[in-house]
Amino acid sequence: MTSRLFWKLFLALWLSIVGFAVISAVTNAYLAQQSVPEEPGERFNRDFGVLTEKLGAALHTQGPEAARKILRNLPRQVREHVYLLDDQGQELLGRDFILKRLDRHRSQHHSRELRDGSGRAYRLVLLRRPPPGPLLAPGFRGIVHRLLVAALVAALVSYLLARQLSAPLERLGEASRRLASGDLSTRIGAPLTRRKDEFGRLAGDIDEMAARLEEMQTANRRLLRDVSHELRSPLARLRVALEIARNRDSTAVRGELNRIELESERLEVLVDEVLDLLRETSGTGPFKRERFDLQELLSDLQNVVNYEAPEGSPGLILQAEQGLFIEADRELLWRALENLIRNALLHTDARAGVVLSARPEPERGGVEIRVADRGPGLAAQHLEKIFEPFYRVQEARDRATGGHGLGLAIAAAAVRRHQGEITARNRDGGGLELVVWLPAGTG
Amino acid sequence: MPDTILLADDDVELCALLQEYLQQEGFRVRLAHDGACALEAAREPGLDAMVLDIMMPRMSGLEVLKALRQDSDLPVLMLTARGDDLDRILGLELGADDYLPKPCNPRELVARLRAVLRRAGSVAGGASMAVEDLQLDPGRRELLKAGRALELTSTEFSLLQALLQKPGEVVSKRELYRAALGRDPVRYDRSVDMHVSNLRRKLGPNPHGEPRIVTVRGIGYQYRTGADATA
Repeated sequence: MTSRLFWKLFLALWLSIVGFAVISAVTNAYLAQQSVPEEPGERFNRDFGVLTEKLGAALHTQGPEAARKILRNLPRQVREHVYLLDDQGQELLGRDFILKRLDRHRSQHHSRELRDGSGRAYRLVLLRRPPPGPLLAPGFRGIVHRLLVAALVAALVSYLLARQLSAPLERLGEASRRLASGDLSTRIGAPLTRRKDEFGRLAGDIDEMAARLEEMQTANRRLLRDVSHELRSPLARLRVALEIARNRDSTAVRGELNRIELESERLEVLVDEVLDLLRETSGTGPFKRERFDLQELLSDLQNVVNYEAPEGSPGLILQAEQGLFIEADRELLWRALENLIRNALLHTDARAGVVLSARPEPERGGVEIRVADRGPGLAAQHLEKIFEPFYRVQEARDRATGGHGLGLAIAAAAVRRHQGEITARNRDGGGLELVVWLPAGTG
Repeated sequence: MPDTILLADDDVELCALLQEYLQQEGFRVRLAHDGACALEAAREPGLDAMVLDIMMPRMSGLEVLKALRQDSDLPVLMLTARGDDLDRILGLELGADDYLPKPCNPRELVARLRAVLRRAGSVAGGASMAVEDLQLDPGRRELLKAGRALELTSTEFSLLQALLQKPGEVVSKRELYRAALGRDPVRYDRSVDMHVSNLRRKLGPNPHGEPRIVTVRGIGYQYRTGADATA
């Protein structure tokens, strides 16, 4: 792909060089017109007078061969001015082409008739200047020829220069876009970093920055993994110990044991959610964009969620057509949507279920996904805040449903990692609607 | 006679607790705390199943599984880090029978273990059947393809049995989970899909050169016979 910058540079350079050439050509043509035709100089007359006599004598006494010899022995600069044509119009040294040019350009010339011994007529042509080649010819044609050559050369030079300037910028831009999309292993590398100019330094700086970012991300990832392991291990032991205690004679403390189990489960869920949220907001979790049909993902999701739907509830109702292709991280999107749907299922009126719909967004492009419930909805002041971590609308209700106020924050972080948007609004006729917009791909 | 379980996990304290719990539940338990020991212990006689942690020193659980599957059909229940899909998929691909995310609920662990053992030990598994070039003998848990025996894990065997009981019909995923894993699917569960893809690889195409098991999106899988393909 050739960038816009390339074309801008190319055209600017090319047009300015060609423009300059046009101006100088026009000026030259004007000046040439103004110049007074040169009078035949005395020296010219004398020198060529001598030559004419010499040639005339040679022709007359010894024939054309002698004249040809004289012509051939002339110094080059002189020879270019002297042409001898026989009665057939043939030049003695075979330089016939000259005639055509003479006719065409009407160069200033003298001509004189000479005769040999047998009385054959010869024409001696003396040019004031050697005839110019087509490129140097005066007049309109010459100007056009010269300008065409100038334009070609200028195009070549402009192309090389524009390429030289725009190619590294394209490479830098491509690399920074890949870095921004999360691929921190991107490096610009040679040959650009080996350049000694500002481009080379910039490329080196970007590579260094990318290396630092990657290091930090790796360290962050390791920390998250260690923290998650260290937090979960004691919990795992706790739960086994709890079961052992329960298997012993434990009727007296059954209530307490149940409470310990409930709290340890809550702690486990909380640890999972906090780590998920950290992973998504810090961007250290894996992120793999692929192209797939959103409808397929949604219908798989519907199947999984509806396994758990209570009897008599429609559960999750899907409204989406096939062929809704997007570029996204399938696993991440799945988890985000599942969080939204489970949240909606917790709050909706079971008889109404939850409607999951997806359609192409006509204005911005991309896809819009809606999760709509028939629950109590939310007061206006909560609408924007429900995607904040640990934000609770109603302490008691969320406790009962086992949430920690993190599911929506995790979903929102995942949507933002896709450069998407998430909003909440109340529905007409009651209930809450969560709207997710995802761009169709990486622009 | 109680079943003997090999517990392979590098968390020594957890192992000690699990050992006590599993003994309470009527199992005999052997322990291994790193991959190399686990592989050695898994090849000793008298073992009925193994619980295998993926993250272990010296040799990861996945490597243990890969080496073990060269010569053994020992039922393996894998413990994976929660959210690590890659380990889970690799583990199932390498022939683990089922998996549990860590930290696991001990009661769930026992339930899964019993399901795995029940399938592996089931003798009266129904009548033997023959579909196209396949001959499946549930009594001996043996599968012949064109007269030659094929090595399947017990989960793969149960899965194929469930599909072959209704050749040409779509069997729902839920049904397959119950038949092959003795449980319902859970969140993010792809176990049956992985086992089916292993089965496909081991069985190869049918005598007509077509895939034997086709996916019916959103519903389940179907064992397609030549008659279905031409119909």
